[in-house]
Amino acid sequence: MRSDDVLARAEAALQRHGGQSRLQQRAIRRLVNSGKIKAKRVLWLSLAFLIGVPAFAMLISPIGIMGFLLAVMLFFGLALAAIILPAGLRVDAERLPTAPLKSLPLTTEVWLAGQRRALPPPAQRLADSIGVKLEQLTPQLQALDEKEPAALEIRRLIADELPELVNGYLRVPNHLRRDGLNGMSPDKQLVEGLNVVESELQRMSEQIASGDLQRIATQSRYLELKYQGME
Amino acid sequence: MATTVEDTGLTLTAPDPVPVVAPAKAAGLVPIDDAKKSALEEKAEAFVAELVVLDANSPEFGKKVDQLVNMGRREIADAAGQSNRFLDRPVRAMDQDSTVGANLAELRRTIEDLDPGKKDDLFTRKKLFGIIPYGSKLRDYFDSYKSSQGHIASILSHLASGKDELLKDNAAIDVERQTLWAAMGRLEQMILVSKALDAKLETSAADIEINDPAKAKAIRETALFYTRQRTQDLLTQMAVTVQGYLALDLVKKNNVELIKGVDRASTTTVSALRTAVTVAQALVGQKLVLDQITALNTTTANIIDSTGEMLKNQTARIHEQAASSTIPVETLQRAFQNIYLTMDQIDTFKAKALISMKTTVDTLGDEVEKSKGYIARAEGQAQAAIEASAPNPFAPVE
Repeated sequence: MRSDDVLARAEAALQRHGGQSRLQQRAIRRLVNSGKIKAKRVLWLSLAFLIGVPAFAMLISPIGIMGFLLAVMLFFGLALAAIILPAGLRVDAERLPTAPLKSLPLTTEVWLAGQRRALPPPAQRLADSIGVKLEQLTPQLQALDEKEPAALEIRRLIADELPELVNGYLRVPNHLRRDGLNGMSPDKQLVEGLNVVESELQRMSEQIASGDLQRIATQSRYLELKYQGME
Repeated sequence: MATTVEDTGLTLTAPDPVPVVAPAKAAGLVPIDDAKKSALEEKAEAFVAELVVLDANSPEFGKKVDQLVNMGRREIADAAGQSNRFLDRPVRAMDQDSTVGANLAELRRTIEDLDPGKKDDLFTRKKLFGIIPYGSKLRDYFDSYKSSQGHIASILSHLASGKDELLKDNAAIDVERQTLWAAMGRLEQMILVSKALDAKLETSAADIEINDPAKAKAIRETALFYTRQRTQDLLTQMAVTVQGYLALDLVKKNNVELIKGVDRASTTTVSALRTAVTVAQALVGQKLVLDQITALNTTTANIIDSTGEMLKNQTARIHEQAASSTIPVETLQRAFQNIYLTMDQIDTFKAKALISMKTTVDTLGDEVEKSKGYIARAEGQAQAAIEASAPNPFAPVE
């Protein structure tokens, strides 16, 4: 009986999420987003050519058939470039410490996604789940004051310490990343460090939420005490 | 007589101060189930087994020992963070009842103005110089209720909101105690682990004493030493947390008593006013209409469930009495006596409770200070551990 119940619930959950984990969903979203950006680029490009070429021919000088062919070739070349060039926001690690707290997690997430390709596979998975945590943290930070200790702690972790770890790894030459020197393995250390960052993010999120958790618990207890008698 | 002063039946007992909890007795207060216990012991055993096979001079050995140094650091920091807050609460409780206290004092002043006992000339000077009819003193007296009713109603509603504050405080305490209980559970587990580690380290050091005296020495001087230190720190923090847990209960009990007092003060006041209405009717045939008080009757009776019933019965008897009695003013005076008695009881309670609270705050403050010393030391060690892992300033020159 109970196992049936559990199975049914699991199935419902699977259907609800389309059978994909959050990480997969994020990967798909990333793909869709970059596709959108690329489509937009091509659209603007064709618009520019459709208006620009006739305008040039009429106002400045006629371009002739050769000029037209040249314009068509130029258009295809540029369109190809627009599709091949990577889409998506780019953020430099230097910009992170000055980013406002409210948008800091998302900025860090974008930055981390930019570094993702250069990381070893286990670290890539961790980077993804750190990204999810950062996303969850964003709404929590909206009401947090910049000067509060919790805010400073978060800023230090995701704007300073995390980039330091990843950049430190990336500074190590490629051939030394796996085995390193003197028994130190940068690959392994990166994964360990990212693990710590991930669990810290979890803890900080819990810590920030604890005030709200207590408040709602207190209010419901108060209602109980007041309207359902003491004790 | 229905409204004799004994009728309040109110006893407010000030809770005893919280005793000092000795660190040695702090452990074992929060139960851990056996499955968890054996799992924790296995963890300790596995850790010692791994430690013993390592070379005592290797960095891995050092890493393991560092883990011992850091053992339970988060649990201690968590519990300590809460300890600052639970010291804050009893201190606030001591001066917080100022709002309730001020309202009670004001109620007393207003009631004293209406007290028929303070106006013993109610009947004697009915006629000025014994000749000229001077209207009715009694009538004037009952008229004064009309002018006071708005004031009394507002005091009573202040008292009701003061009571709500106390209830909210108690709700917050309940929640805080729940999180403290969880923190204590985690501390308890860490204490169990560190005690298990202590025992295992001791026996394994004795086992390898003959074959590898150097390693046995290293285990005793580093691993075992730090484990014992951590056990002490954990126990100290546990003692403080337990004490804070008990102190919170004290504040809560205090609030409950104070709420009882406020409830009773409101009830007796409303009861006295009702009596006045009845007595006025009986004595001077005056229909005393106290709109706001009538409204309060219903709301107060609804809010104060426990005393509402009593209030209803009492009023019925007052009606009966005042109508039939030859001395209705005395009935009214008794009703006022009830209010004074309640307020006196609240005052005595507050005086006693204040002493309990102060003792508790003082001992708790001392213990928190002590545990802060431990925490500072633990933090210092953690800092040292971080600095130790920094590059050696005396690195060989190449």
